[in-house]
Amino acid sequence: MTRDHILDGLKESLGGDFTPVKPLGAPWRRALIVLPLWLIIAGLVLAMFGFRTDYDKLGPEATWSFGLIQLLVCFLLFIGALKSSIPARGSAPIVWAGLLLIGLSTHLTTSWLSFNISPGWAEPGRELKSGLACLSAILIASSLPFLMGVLLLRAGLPLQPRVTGTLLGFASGLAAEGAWRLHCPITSWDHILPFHSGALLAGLACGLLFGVYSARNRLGAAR
Amino acid sequence: MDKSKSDREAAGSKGGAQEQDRLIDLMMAYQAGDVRAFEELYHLLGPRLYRYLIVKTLDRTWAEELLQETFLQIHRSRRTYLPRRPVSPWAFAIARHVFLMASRSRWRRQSREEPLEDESPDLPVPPEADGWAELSQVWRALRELPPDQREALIMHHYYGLSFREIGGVLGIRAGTAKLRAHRGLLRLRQWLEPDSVTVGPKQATTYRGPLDS
Repeated sequence: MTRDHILDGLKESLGGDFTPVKPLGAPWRRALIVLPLWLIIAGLVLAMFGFRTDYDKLGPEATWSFGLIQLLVCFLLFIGALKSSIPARGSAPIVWAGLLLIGLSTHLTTSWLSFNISPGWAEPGRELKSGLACLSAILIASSLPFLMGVLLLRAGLPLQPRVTGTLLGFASGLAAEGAWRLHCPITSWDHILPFHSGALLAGLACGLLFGVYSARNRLGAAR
Repeated sequence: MDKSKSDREAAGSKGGAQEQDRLIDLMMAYQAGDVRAFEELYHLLGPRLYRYLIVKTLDRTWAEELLQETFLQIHRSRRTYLPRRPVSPWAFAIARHVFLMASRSRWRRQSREEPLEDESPDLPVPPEADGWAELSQVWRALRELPPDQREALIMHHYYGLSFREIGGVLGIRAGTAKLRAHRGLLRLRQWLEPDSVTVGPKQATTYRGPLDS
């Protein structure tokens, strides 16, 4: 079967635009960008607000490792998001759900461990104020990896944009929360669940909305 | 397995591997800006994508339109091809995306109109089903298969994609792809060769699917 008329039409549409392109790097390689980004966010948090007040009690190992574990999971989620933006590299919904579950359980486990080592509560009467400060700080900090992720995704072709957006949003929140943890000494559940976990879920929702928007407007190479 | 059949299969898989290597080389040359590579790629991939689009659309005219759109999309997203990976699954995933986008906008435009299905859409026939019935009957039975089973069946038995590759294209698990292809083939056989398929303790002779009508 030869369909030369289609080929002629194609060449006409492309107008001889056969500019060489550099193939995208492997998803894990491109996802490495979150590591320096996290260091920037952590550096800014520490420069502006300083270490958590219970740093000595929690110990430097626990303080840093809890943040770094979340960074590692964020890196995996980023790889998932970038992988889903390459045709034929899609995975089943159960894989994506599993990745999100790993992220959430890591966050909850590190919070539980922090509370067990160094329990801390918000000052009486300032619970809401300090909670909202944490929520907004995490959301602002998460915008940096999120925007970088959007730039990386634009180079790809997200065929499951809702999945991609959700993973990206959650990963960004996780990285930012891990960095913010270096400063915030409040480890009680009545603070962590609504404000820290809430920020993660808000990031996830933003990512999902971005995915819906992308699906309608065909971002990336899908124009 | 007799010797001639195993020789044929070995030659076929060798030819398939050679063709896959050729596609990979062409795709990389195309990324480097080689127009001739694009043309050759079109001649190698075009018929496959066209038949795949027929499987999706059941309409030759629409499949031709989508073929052109698929190649435009391939051109726009040629950066997303990762060197040395199989080209066919990547191209099928893009064709599927183009079909989904087009069917969504077509559904919006023509939701109340009758579907434009082709009576003899020239569907690709899996080699297993080649001798089961007249070609027109096989086509008719293929048309009646659930779309997800038809897609997995054709991708595996006609195009030779692995279940893992099909899973990557469709965004499902390899096991699910295998199940769909297996069920599709089984159902096709039940319809076309009812006496040869046993379902449970009895033979499936009561229901002949679309060929009964």
